[in-house]
Amino acid sequence: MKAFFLTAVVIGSAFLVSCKKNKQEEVKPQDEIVYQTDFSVDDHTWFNFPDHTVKPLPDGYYELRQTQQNYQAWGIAPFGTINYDYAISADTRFFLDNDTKYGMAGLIFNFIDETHYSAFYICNDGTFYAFRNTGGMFTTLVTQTYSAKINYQLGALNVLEVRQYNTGANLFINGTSVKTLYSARPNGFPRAGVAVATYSSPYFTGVTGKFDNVTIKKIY
Amino acid sequence: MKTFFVLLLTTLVLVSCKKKEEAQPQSIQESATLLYETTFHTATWPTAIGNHFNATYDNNQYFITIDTANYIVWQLSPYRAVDSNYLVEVDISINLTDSKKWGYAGIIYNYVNNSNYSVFRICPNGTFNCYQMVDGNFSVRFYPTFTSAIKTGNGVVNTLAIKQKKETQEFFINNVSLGSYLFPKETLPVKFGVAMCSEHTDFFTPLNASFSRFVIKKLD
Repeated sequence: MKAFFLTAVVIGSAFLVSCKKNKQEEVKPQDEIVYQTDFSVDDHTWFNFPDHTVKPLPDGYYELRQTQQNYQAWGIAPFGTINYDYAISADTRFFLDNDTKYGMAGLIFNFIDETHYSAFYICNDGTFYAFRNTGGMFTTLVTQTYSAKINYQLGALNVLEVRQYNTGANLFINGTSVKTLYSARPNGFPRAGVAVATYSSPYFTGVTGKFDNVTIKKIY
Repeated sequence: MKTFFVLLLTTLVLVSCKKKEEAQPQSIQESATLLYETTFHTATWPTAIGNHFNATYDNNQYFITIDTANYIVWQLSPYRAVDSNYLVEVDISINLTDSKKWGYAGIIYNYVNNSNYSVFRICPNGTFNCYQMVDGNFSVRFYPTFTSAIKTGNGVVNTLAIKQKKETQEFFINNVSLGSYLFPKETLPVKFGVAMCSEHTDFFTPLNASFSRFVIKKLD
């Protein structure tokens, strides 16, 4: 009988240790970079048009330009196998043809096609804004909201990030979460990228965005 | 009774260990039966001289050229249709006349007829993509996706492989898994071959590709 209890205790302890080990392994994994570019080399994987151009060495970046009013221009990262929670981030700078007017630069995410996507922009008045396009129907996700986290001088660096989970997303500006969206990750393989947008008259002017260090991560 | 408890505890420990094992990623190597292999030393694949493309044997390689924008060419292997789980693998080398432009070569698989098939292909810029034709309707599975698994540049040999199981397709480039995705096996027997595509006008450049090995295996 003693031997039986001893055996049971030894095996039971082994089982508990095994469970503990498994528990430790369940710690949330760190973000995993699945795509990253600093544009220091033009590998011809991003669109290259006069208004969508990779500017390689010595200080690589991706430039987007939009000169039509109330319009966007975007460049989608060459990464199309996302079927998991993901984050996209980019160093974002933008310039205006007329600095008394307004313009926006930011991130495109949950991009399925040209009429199914979401966008997160910052503006040179110190506000941010997000919306979703569903088959040509635009839904505001965040109305233009002031944030002290935005460096709103033209040409200033802002690091923007969207962390998209299965049922919602978090928007970050320079490392600070500024908004939680209840906007689900679409089915299929959404893509993500960078974008600029112009305003309508009387605020309209041409916008040039310069983007660097675009990173896509698998998140948990 | 004693034995029962000991066995129960031992089983629990073993089940816990086994669970961990199942989470391990699979490699391209697994038990398989070779169905077909060619290194193109004998001319058994169809050749053609077309208005916009040629398919010929040259220097013990199968060689296809395209000189027209927005064009797709495929040639099927002479092996019969397969209805089992399979692995199909090909060695490809692509040459773009202008390396800043885009052009593709890869595997045509799950070919049932001219309106139902899939293509997995690479571009020398380091991206792969995949699309499917279903009853003549084009559907993108993956948009161009950058991977460091591709050896970039003109004339470099890359090995592409697809593993089709009952519910999933797993894609490999140079033995590196690009992930396993829920794309179920066709219900009808399927054929395989090689495919090449040119881009539309903005990104078009004439291209050629040589194929030096083609393998079909039945997965056990």
